[in-house]
Amino acid sequence: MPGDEVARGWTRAQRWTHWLTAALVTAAIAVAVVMVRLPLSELRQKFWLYQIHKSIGLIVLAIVLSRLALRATGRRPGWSDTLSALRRRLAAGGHATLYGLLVLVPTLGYLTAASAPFQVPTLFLGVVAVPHVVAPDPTLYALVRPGHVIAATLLGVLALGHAAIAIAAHRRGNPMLRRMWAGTA
Amino acid sequence: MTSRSRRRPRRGSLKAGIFAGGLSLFAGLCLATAAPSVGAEQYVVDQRFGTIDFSVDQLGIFAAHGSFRTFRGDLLLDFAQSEKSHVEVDVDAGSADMAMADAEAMLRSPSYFDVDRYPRIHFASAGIEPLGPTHFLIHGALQIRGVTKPETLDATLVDRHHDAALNADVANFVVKGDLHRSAFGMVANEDFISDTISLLIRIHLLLGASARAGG
Repeated sequence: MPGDEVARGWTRAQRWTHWLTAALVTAAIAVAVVMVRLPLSELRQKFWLYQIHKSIGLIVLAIVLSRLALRATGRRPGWSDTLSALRRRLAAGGHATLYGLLVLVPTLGYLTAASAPFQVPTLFLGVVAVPHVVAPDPTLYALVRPGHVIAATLLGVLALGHAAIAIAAHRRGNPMLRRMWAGTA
Repeated sequence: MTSRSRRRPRRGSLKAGIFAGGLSLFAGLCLATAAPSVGAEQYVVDQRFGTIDFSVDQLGIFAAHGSFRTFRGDLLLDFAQSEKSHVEVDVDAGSADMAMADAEAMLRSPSYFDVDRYPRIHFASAGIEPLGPTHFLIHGALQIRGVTKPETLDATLVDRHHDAALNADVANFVVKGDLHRSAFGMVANEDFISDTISLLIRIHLLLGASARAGG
């Protein structure tokens, strides 16, 4: 988790994708809260909010896969020397869970749209029709829709925890948050 | 599925029944006329014997589809003199199915079918216009939300043959039509849902001796 990584710092691409992911996930959750509550009498607004939400999800998925690729290159700060082995394992587990949810949530969202018995197209950025690779399937829909909501809720909670730990570490003088923001200690 | 509709023989008619294969029908729309001719057959058709589907265009981008789960029609069918056929159908407006609970609730609301006040959609033919041996126009009156408007439906006998397995003649009809929802006072969401509603009705009839026992 944040607060544990020190040393060299992150690349510009890693820092940009980190904050972009944070902003997009926040936006996706905010849009979701509004769009599901909007009555069908506001069909036009509801439709476009869903399209915005789905577009954000697809962008997040692409960014997270890029981040995982960057991570695989090995360029990332090492653990702080003061961090115990247990906390390193907890931090690594937390990051792995975050990445897993960042992939799982948009994937389940896509499957929700694709399997919905009432078919609404997915228009990336409101323009590009994204094919639904699975047919409408009420059984699958009944599984993936609540799965999407639960996973998204977990992601939101975990992201908040991630941010809280980062801020707490920053207040203790840990340079990690500053490095993630500005690239320098 | 091989259930049959109730048949009420008229004047020595063929023995017929209506068979439905999970398909459609809504014979609702066929042939009209005053007194039944010698060859006329009377059928009662409902959702067991066919389907009434509808579709609307949304934002000009995609179509939304639905159907009515419950309807009942009386069909007087005269193959020899189609212009003497007649149809009258009642559709349960609250049975609109769009595979989405919110959409179905919206259709039942006062902005659309207003089912609390107008639970039935009614169509009665006023005349059949043969365009060919298997192609007809059904002129009639359609009532939705208490508003009655003239409506013309396009009916085609797409298939009629003897089914050896059933030992009976079968007949399949497809009926199509477009109506404008605004004509019936349904003007909500005009910025999203098209005014034109397309209807697709399929009817599957079982004609023949084996239908006599159908009930």
